[in-house]
Amino acid sequence: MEFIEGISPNLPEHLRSDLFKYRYNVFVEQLGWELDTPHGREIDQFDHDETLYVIARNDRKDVIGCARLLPTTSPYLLEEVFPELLNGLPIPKSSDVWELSRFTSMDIANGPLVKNAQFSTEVTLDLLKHSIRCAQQYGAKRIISVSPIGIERLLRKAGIKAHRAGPPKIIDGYPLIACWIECDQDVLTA
Amino acid sequence: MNINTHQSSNPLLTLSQDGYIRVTQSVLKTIALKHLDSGIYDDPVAIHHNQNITCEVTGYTEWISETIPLLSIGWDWKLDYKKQSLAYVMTGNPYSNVIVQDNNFSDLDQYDSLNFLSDLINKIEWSSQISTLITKKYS
Repeated sequence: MEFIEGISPNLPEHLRSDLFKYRYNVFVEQLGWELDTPHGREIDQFDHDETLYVIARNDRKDVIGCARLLPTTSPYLLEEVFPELLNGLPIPKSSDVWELSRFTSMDIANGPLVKNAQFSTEVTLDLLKHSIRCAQQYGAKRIISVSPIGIERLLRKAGIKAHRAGPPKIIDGYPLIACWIECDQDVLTA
Repeated sequence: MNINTHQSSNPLLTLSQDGYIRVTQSVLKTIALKHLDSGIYDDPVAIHHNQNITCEVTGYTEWISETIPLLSIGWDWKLDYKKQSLAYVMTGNPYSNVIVQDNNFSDLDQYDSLNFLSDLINKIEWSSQISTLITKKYS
């Protein structure tokens, strides 16, 4: 298994293509999210030249996990689409706060898959820690994630201190939350 | 902490810059919660007991206050077959945007704060409410 990270222009075209196909498989076909996206590729306005990606691939070079990191100094998902998840807190706009979204480690090639198995494989914890460290390298001190509530279970399992920003919003039948994650934690370098 | 549907705002609740709502133990006991959502996890957990394998039904439940800002508390549950009738039992500590303070307005550490919330949850009649809701949602 390998992790590849980088901003969009620094990733090879074939890898970006594999990433967006994988996201389509996971979020549209498996999880049933109703996203306004081209058929076969899950991509939106937050996938741009400043977007930082972390991609996990297996030994066959299949994408088996991914994360999307956005600086909050540019428009981001929570700000534009789900500001109510912050429970009234002013929208963060700071170079040391980054957003984590489209985080998944669903291994499509090795089902069986279930509806809320977005964080279902052994890759998950490594991918999560790798993603947080990656954001930290770009200046993040805190991360705000937009994710199903499974992210809280995952963070607790990993021993990473985090807490929800407010109540969940029910999207397509499943609760979605914003979650604060502190980057400066020993557990992330263990 | 009670369960009712009485709308209220609480001037003692403030949203901190770190996203937490800091609430003293005594104030927290007066705040009502209402149900937001509950569900069953799709992946059943296989339990090996003697030579039998049974599936444990687990899920989540989410509750909010009717204050501004909103207090949010969610927790996982399992259906407990060991008692004479089926019961929903909380598993693990809850998840929340609340940090509990002592009556001197000092934060409890996260572990003690969550334990305090767990104790409050166990004093409310959430199990019977979500039993009805889960049955309705999945029947």
